[in-house]
Amino acid sequence: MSPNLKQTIMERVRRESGAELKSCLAAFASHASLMQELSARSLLPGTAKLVLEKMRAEPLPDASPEKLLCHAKILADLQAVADNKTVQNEARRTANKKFLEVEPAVNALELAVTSSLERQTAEAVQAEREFFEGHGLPWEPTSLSKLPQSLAVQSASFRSGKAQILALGGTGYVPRLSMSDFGALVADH
Amino acid sequence: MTAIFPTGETETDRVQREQELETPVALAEVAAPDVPFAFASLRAELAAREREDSFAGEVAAAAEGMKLPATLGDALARLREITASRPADKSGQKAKAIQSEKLRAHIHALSQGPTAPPINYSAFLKREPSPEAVARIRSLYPNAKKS
Repeated sequence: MSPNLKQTIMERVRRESGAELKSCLAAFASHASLMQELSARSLLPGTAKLVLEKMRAEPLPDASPEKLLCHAKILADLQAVADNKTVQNEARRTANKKFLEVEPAVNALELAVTSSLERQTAEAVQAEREFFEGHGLPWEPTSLSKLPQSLAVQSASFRSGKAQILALGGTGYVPRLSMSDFGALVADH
Repeated sequence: MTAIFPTGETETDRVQREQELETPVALAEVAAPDVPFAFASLRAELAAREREDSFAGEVAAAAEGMKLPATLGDALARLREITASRPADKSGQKAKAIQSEKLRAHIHALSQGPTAPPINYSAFLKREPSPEAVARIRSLYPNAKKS
């Protein structure tokens, strides 16, 4: 079985930018856990109202007195959050602050990946030169040197989310991060 | 008597005409009809005559007796039969033209495929609470078996 050129390139990128990838994954995981916590507690803007509407629409199964008292308490807590815009805005601000904190890790990873790909491109170009010179031909790019250039990694979800947060100036937008932006780099994560 | 402007009338015709003019008309010939005259009935009769004469009436009559096939295959087979038929008389040819025209329109309608199902656009805009929020709310209730 012949080695896959793309896999070979990405394995080397992963090896050379392992530390940056690890810190970036940790930053993403930290943001994801905060988002999950805020979302589970219905603190993000609009979520408490949605949960309240859903609870009011659905009848309570097996409504024992204990359950009813618990139901009342849960409804009161959700109503308090739904009525309080300040709490929701604070939750959004916290989530967006955590989102922007990911930027150094993302930048470092993108830089490390780009450097690795550039090194590999330079090596491929050198190999191509030697090959063509051996046959008395001028150098021209082949897929060997073109492929590393096409594998550049950029976190689109972070870029668009950052643009939305900064452009909207603190309105109710809470972007999410996606690890799928890094493609083959994090295929096994 | 010589006529100033010749009318082409023969002598026999002239005599007959003069006799008719001299003959007194019987009252029974100009008697009123049994049905009293009315403009409404006249209009209805004229409309009925017009309907009988017009081509639209024939189309309706020819198409009315024609049962349209339910499937596209049956409709094409029927059209093939109608196209192959050779009616001898003029009315048959006219009926063939009308039926094949109607069948072609029916085949076109059948070949358009099923109509698109209605889309509830408001359902796309309706937000649902996140699953983790629903799961947490469920976990807050006391266990039903304990109570």
